[in-house]
Amino acid sequence: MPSSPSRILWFSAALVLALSAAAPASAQQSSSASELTTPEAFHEELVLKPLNDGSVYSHFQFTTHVGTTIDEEPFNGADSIFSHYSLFPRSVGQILQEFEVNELHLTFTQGRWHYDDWGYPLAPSAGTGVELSAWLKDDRKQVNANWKGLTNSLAGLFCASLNFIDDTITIEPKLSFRHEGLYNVHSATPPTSQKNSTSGSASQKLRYGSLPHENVCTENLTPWIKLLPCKSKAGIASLLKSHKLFDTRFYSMAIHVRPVCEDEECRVKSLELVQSITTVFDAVRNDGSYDWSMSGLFEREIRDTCPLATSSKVVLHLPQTTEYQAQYELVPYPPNDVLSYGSDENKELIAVYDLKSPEVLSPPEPFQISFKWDNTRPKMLRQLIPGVLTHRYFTGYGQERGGLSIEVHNNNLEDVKAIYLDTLPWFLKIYLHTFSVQLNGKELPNYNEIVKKMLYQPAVDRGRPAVLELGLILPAQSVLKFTISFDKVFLKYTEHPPDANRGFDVGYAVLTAYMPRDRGQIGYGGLDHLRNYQGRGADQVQHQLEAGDNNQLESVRVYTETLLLSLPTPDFSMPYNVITLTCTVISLFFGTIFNMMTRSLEVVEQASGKKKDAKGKEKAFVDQQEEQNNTSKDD
Amino acid sequence: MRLQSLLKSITFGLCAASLSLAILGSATVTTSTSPDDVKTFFSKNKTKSGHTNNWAVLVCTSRFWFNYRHIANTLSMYRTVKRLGIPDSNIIMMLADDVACNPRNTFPATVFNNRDRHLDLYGENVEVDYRGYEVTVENFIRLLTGRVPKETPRSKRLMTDDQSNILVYMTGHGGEEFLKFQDAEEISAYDLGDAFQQMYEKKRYNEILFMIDTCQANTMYTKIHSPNILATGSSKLDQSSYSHHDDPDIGVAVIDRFTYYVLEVLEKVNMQSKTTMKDLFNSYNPSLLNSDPGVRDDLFPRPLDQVLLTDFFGNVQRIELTETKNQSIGDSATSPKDDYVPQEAGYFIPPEEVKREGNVAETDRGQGSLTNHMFEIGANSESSTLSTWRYMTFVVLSGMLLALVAGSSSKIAAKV
Repeated sequence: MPSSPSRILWFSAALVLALSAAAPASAQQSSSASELTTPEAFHEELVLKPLNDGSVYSHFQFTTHVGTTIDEEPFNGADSIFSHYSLFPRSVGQILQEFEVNELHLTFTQGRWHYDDWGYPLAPSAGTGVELSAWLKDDRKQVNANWKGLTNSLAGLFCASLNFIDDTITIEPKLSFRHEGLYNVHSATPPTSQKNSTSGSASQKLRYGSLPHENVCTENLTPWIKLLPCKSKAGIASLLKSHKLFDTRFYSMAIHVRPVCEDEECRVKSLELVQSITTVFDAVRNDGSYDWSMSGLFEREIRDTCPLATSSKVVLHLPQTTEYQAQYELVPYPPNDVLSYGSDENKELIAVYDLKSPEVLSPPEPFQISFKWDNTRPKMLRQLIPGVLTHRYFTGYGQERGGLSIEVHNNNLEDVKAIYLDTLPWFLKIYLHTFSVQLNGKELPNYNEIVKKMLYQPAVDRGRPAVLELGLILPAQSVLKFTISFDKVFLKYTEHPPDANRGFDVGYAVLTAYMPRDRGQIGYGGLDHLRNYQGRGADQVQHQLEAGDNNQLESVRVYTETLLLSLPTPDFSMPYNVITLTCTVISLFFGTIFNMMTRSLEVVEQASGKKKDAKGKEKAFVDQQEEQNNTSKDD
Repeated sequence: MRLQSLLKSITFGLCAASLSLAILGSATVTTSTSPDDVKTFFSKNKTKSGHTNNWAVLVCTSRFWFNYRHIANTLSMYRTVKRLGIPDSNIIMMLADDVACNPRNTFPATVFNNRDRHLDLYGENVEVDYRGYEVTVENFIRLLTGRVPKETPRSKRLMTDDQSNILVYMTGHGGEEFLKFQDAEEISAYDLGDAFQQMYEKKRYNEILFMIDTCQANTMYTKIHSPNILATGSSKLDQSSYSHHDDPDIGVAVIDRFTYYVLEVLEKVNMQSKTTMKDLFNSYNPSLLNSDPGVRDDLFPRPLDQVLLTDFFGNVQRIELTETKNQSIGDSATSPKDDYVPQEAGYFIPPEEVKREGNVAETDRGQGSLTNHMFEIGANSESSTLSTWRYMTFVVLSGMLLALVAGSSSKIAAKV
């Protein structure tokens, strides 16, 4: 919910709310609405969804709110809230305060999300590696110093090499990664449009960086769990077992902090911390069966809820089949019946289990869901065709020149607005004049109709990356292809990593697409229904619903693959050859100059008795030296 | 004429000195310390360590999957020191690669050091402070000497003082007087000796146990010249260190012999154990190790049969209170700081007390200790500038001396 990429979250939430007005979930809405004014609240939630290919999607979401009711005081993000800590983790709070962070998004991901098979994730996740973006206050013009401090502190907190996000890979996107939370302290309206958000962020600066080659493992999960009020001792978090979580096809762990409005006039603001873990379990791998149970997936069970949690829910998305209906057995069946959302052909069936209610979870008995197909599972569930897809790959060969191809597929029946953001490390020398666009395989000589806006920041060697940001209109049902050429740079031998022959990782590109909200293809993404269940922002949603129209656009972030670039690697023993050679030259030079400076060369006059004497002496000396040399060799 | 040539030679000598300075940037300066000074300087008497806190620096310098065993070695030591009470905040772990979540690992998020796979070393609660490309010689030396950039988080700093006992454990691939870091660079025995000397000058330790498991390991501690350092290695010059056994499912060797047999002793040690260093060193069996392990104790004043293993591997501390601190505790008797119980009774601490102190160290890291350590770091950098100046002066003076000698001797030689 809070980690939604959608800047029009309120609208989408509104839609879901409207569609589900009769659903029992909205009854809880009103009851929990009174909790808005409590200073701190903690919600825990687990979403499960069987995917098309038999994998099971799971999404843990832990939301902590620190509220403030002080209306007069200008809202300063982290500053005004933290006089003391109870539910909100102090280690995060202190970092926010110290580095004047208004909004923070950090995602650790291992594996790649298969958009073709799985559709879009319910909650947004990021591409492979680590992604960090933050809005920093720009009051005292020390954004860069704060960003450096932030990356280092987070590196320490999460046992990751985030300190490698330095100037050479940090960028400031101009169109993508807009505010997800409240951006303007004095504005009552949530960030609904591009214009607003750019004008409102005058006093804040965005910083964005990613590490495509960062491993994600238990040492990152350990500190993440320690931020939870109940750790993994109680509640939904007790399912988090590292051995199972890292034995999955996709793992994404995130922490998002943003300021949000709690009521429609935005008089009550709060800081929201969302911790989430998204995994895709390969449920079929072990026994070939499409049936699954929670204990099988997690090897743990929920025995109780976190006593500090205001709400504690397990949400199950039931699979949709075209031919069959409900040919599965679900144990236990949700006490409030299965909820359905959406229009007929795009209906979503959702089972909600409120763990706080005694009929769902009575403490000695653990909570357990098992899902069984009655006969055989239909081969293919309802095919989810993702509205917009993108892929990126290298072209060219050899160690000098290369090319980059980006494909963008639009499967929608109408044009779609999208923003493409690509960060290319400085060791790829991009030639912008080679940029070309192909539409459905045909070269476009004039692509102004497609590429509405192009922002390009050239790279500085060892200084900053190249940034290419494109504002696009994707024609309906089309395949767009961009190509661009680059040169590979010769690096200094010290700039190569220890495993230089592996190649260099080039981080993913991000495509932010704005698609109509009511397209079933998106699915009821963005975890909007979670927001709904949690009973937060209900009034806000209602307000927006009355004011706006239903045909709003939802933004979806699609990540490309990360790429591996092989640069020419030197023979690493070369420096030693150079050192040896240099030393030889120096010593020769040294000997010569030494002799020249210390010996006085005099012209010896010929044909005199003295000369013979001198010669004889000299010879004797040389002989003596040779003797000494010989003896020393024996030693 | 003569004067002129003398001047010439002096100028040249200076040139040569600065040249040598440029080339040999890491030349050593030995401080002369008499054994008596050493003995009385730190510890109060010859048998007790006198430390108040324990730190561990555990370094695996090897990258790549086939070096699984080096990571397992390091994690085994990590597990041991953690079991014996050193909290994560006092353990700096450097792992050059991630084998636990490596795609080649059949058992994701685990690292085992034995074929039977009973004990998952990675567990559910592991903190790796430096990992991957961060494990470099520079970072290691910066860590030891405390010369880290100001943004460095606490978990990446070795915030020790003159009351700290430090275990430095290293493993990887090495050779005569060097240890490779990630197949890309080496740390030499001289670098290590200098780093320890700098730590000594900056009062960053009370005692150090340096343990290294690599080929020709014993050569790595030959250049250490600072007091109160006990060193042990797995094999002598021209000897390899060998792995112990492999796991057919993991597909590679899982532990090295030296570490395996050291762990055999350590596994029997608990916080109250009276096992001494001498017991450990006596347990070394060259026929099992296939190499000759070494011990260097000439810098270490205490007799080895008086040095408990827990002095380095555990967090059993003897806390000493100064007058003023005692006062302040008396003043705030109700404050949570009343955990600080004076341990006048000498070294032996009853088990309950020991446990409680372990906790003190753990809780303390979150709160009060930051400011103290910050202060410490400030002081350190000051003293380091001093020593740099001393070093510079020394080099320049010796260069001039060298020039004089060289000049005059060559003059003499030429005359002859």
